[in-house]
Amino acid sequence: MLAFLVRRLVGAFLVLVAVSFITYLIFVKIPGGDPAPRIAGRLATDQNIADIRQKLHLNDPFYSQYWAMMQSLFTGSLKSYSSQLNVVQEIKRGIPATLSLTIGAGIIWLGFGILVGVISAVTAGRLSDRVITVLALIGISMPVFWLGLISRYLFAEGHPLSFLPDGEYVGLTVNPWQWFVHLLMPWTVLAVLFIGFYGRVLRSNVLDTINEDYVRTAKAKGLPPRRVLVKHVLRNSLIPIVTLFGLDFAAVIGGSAILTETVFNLRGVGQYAADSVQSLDLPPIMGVTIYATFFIVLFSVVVDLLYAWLDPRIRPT
Amino acid sequence: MKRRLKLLRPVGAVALLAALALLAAGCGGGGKKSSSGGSNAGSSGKTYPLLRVVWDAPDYMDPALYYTVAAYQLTNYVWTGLMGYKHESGPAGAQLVPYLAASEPTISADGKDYKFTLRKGLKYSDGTAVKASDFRYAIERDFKMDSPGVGFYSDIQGVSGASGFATTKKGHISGIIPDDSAGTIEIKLDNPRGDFLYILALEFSDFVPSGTPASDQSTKPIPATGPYMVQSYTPSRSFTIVRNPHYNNQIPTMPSGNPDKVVGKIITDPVAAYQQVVSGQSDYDFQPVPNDRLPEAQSKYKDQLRIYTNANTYYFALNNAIPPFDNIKARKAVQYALDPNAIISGIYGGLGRPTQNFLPPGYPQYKKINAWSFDLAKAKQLVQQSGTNGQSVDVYGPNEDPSKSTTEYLANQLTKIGYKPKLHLLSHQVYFQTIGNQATKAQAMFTNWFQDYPHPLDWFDVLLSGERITKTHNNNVGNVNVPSVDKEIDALKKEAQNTPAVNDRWAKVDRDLMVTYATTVPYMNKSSTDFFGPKIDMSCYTFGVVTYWDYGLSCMK
Amino acid sequence: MATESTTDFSLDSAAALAADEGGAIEGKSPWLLAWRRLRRNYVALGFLALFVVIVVMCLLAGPYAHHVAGTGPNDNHLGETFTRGGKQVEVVSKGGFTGGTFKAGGIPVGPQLWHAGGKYVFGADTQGRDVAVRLLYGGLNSLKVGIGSALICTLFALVLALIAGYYGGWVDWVIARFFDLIWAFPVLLLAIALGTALSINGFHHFGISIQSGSLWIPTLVISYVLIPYIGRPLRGQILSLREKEFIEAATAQGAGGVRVMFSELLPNIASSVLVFFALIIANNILTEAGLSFLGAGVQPPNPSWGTLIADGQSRIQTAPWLAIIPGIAIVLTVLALNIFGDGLRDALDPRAKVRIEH
Repeated sequence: MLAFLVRRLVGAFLVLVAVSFITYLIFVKIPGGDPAPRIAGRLATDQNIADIRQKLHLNDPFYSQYWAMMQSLFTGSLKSYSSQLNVVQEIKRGIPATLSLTIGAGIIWLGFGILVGVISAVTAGRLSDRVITVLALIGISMPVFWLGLISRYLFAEGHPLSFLPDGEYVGLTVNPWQWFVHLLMPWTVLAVLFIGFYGRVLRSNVLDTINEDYVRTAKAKGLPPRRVLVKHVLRNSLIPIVTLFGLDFAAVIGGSAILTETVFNLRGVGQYAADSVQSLDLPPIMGVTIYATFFIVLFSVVVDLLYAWLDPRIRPT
Repeated sequence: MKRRLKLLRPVGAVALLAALALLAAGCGGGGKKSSSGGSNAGSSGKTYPLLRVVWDAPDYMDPALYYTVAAYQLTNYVWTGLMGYKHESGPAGAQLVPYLAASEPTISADGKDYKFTLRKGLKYSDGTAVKASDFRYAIERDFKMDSPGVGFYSDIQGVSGASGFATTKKGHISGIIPDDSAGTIEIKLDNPRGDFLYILALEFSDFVPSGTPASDQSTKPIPATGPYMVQSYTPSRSFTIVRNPHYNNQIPTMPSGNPDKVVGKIITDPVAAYQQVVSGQSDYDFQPVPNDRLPEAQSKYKDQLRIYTNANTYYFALNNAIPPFDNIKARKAVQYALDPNAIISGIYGGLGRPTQNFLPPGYPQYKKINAWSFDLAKAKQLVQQSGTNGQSVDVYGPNEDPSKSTTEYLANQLTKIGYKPKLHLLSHQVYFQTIGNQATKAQAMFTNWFQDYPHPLDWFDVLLSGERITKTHNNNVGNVNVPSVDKEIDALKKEAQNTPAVNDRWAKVDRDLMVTYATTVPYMNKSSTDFFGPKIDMSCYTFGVVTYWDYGLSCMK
Repeated sequence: MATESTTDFSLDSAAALAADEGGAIEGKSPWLLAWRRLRRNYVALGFLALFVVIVVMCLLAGPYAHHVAGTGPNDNHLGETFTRGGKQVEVVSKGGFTGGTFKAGGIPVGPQLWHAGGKYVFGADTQGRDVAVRLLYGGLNSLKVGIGSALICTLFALVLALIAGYYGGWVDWVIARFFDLIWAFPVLLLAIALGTALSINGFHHFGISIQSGSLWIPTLVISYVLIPYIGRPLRGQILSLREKEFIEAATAQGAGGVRVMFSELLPNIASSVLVFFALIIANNILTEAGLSFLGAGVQPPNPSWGTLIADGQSRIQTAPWLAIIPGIAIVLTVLALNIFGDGLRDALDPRAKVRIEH
């Protein structure tokens, strides 16, 4: 177990280094990427630009620039090229919104996904199953930003069917109720995609498990059907869901959250990333990429451990 | 002018102060002139406890660094310099008055020596006394921090040159001689500058206590000299501005302000910002009302909406140095191919006024040009005659609306008259440095200009003079180079007085560059909006040419 | 974004099929059996038909623009009018100052359906461009990027997985780490970073030259970032196949690497590849839309469904059709592909656990 952990951590570290280096390479040589004239402004003298180049180590070879950037990122002194704001501070400011969005949406999609999957499996072949299947597929087929846009248009303040406040993040500590109602729509929109998906995975897992020998044995023993369903079928069907959830959750932090945050203007880390890419602002791009990669790597380790715990047959190797 | 499209920054006024390009054409016929004039001492009983605003993100909250309207409109009540603007609606708002200086300075006959005396008993908001040497410290701090404003001070003695402060950043600027005990400041210039007092009214000249660290202090607010101080600032989130407890009306030439406290939320999305005011969570929307909501705002909230057009010109620059637009017929063809009214209606929702002049209206040098009409057939014919038909054109523009749509419109019109345009849309963060680089070889470009000084030099010399073409960070992006006009601009530079004759010569420069040589394609003076919550008393609405909406003079119903 | 496969629609075992046809279970090729199963899945076939209809409509964008709408996809009609029922209608409403009064304008004309003789069937956008024409051209671009990137991505993933699975050892190690690395990257972030950086000046290295604004940029970016999502499961399948006797037999007979890979391994994973392919087209169309929405996909003035939604976003109040219509087009296309892909998987390989995820 310890060897497993050590190996995974070393691997994670190497991945972080590789990812940051690739990101650096993507942006370092693009035209317009030179931050010195951007920072110097219009009345810049050549002296001014030269001073800034010096200050930012822009005349150094690219590998030592990379090294300097990584150093300042980990000492927390890295600053954006376009706004000069501290990157780590800005990421920290965005984290509450991003985590509120993803955790809330995660709870909704997991809860509803299980509900939908179980109903669908129990009523397999009947009308309710078919309706759920179709709805699930529609949910999977919708671009999340479009769904967000349309929901905002229909349900948010100042719109025809308005009953929810318009997107904007209100801190949990500032006002819990406002936090909740402001996030309700982003949560739902982000979760819709996954509810359908998880429902379908769970449905097929349940159907597969029902035909397993030990379930037949349990039924034959005369256990009540509900008990069989919960104790034997569901328990085993949920194991793959846990894996999925871990990976998806990490992926959402660094992926779908970008679109959802942008559409609802939540100003979390995802939107910060999108804005920074648009303004070709390398330091925050580096910061956010490493932050998101960290989550992805972390969750894949957690998932492996969790999987081993849930299913003792599997030992992490 | 601002580097970023969203950041509009007027700076100062040179000689003429008469009529400025304030065309406040509100739905209600513009704002009333404020009752409280520039030299009012008190607040005439209109103070109120709290003003809630939605604001655009300031670039910095440090007077050495900020260069946006978002920061200026807010902090012109916080940090002050020797000189400042009168807080009044209309052209009077471009007049300079002494702020920390007790009176107008004594200027030597050759215009190279300025002597100021500070007001007595001035204090910063932390209670420490304001010293004459703080001024020199502030300017030197600008240089140490590579402030975007350092270029303004190059004519002060001891700044330029190999041993100048700009290069060494050591010792002191020899041309600034403060005397702390007498409270006087003497400034010596290498060359006379008619606009020097306006430079002293810039944020970069604002006083900061000696010893303030020479690094960005945005989040550790620098003590203020004005009626307000920054209590807190969280970048890209919020700010709070409160009364300066040590102010004591120490600058009688500026209003002491009506709100006791200003709480600002920073929201960059114009729709969300508008919603804040509509839902009653805020009293003022700094952001322009989005086109999508303008019809609603106009019908439902007519009384709370003000529309203004400040001094700006939106124009397409054509690269005069390389084909096809080194050919005057090709450039004329573009003039005929564009329909300014269509651009304004469709893309800007009507918020703009068509123009064919380079100078914005309101300048005494402005003489309306009416030389072109929208005529695609004629444009096509000119392209044929120029022999440039079918050539490819690299069209550059910013990648955000409405600039993006405007650039797409230009590209499409070029297609219609026989060119093969290729569209390049870039982030506004890097747009101007990209088109300002000769290596980019942009052929047709979206660009615009907001005045720094209400003087034609700020337009023609900076933007269209062949002598100002540079290899990188070029502001004359169209490489406009008409030697005869350049000579006239140089001659006019020496004219200290804007007599009617001089103004006529400027108008001819405008006409020559826009019509005779058809170098550039201006199409619009852009308008914008101020949007208020229902609690704001609109009879106090004051819009200064330099200060924009003057929140210090606002009042509640 | 995730696309998944389970047993949803009618699933018939070979025995059931045989029983239905009133015969004994005969030895039939798996492909024939699959076709028989698919043939009975009317829902899947119906949605396949829908997809084909959408593709054909988009392919007819040119003739539609030319003969029906009478305008190209990028032609603005600002300041123009058109005739509807004998009346002149402004394409985009006029606004501006007349004297001291201001009137807000810039509202494009709404969907005309067939009332304007084929013009502005779905209305105009703020530049006065015909939305229906842009929708078809945009669909064409979205489909090109979606299908193109699915092809490239599947092909590369397949080749890499075959090489890794067949040779094993350090070759496998290198390829597996390559998959791991892209997998660890936040997909969308990597895609917008690459898309944005490449859209500025195109790509001009290694003898390859792609102009900025080319459809190849989003196509290749999407292919690249999604490679591990197909490559990893395929590699797993091949690794387990490799232990099977028939591969050993082929090797013992002196078959070379290429032969074993393509005539022994490939046929055994072909059904999985086919299902992946159908599902990943759906997935890639969604990814393209997301990229274009963030400005890192198809570049203006070229439309795609994603850029159309992005353009419509700022006009959702006064011209909601601008964002709604292209979104419906995406949903229909992706839904059709998902349902068909599901049916295909059920027919080809009922027990397969084929999943594409983000």
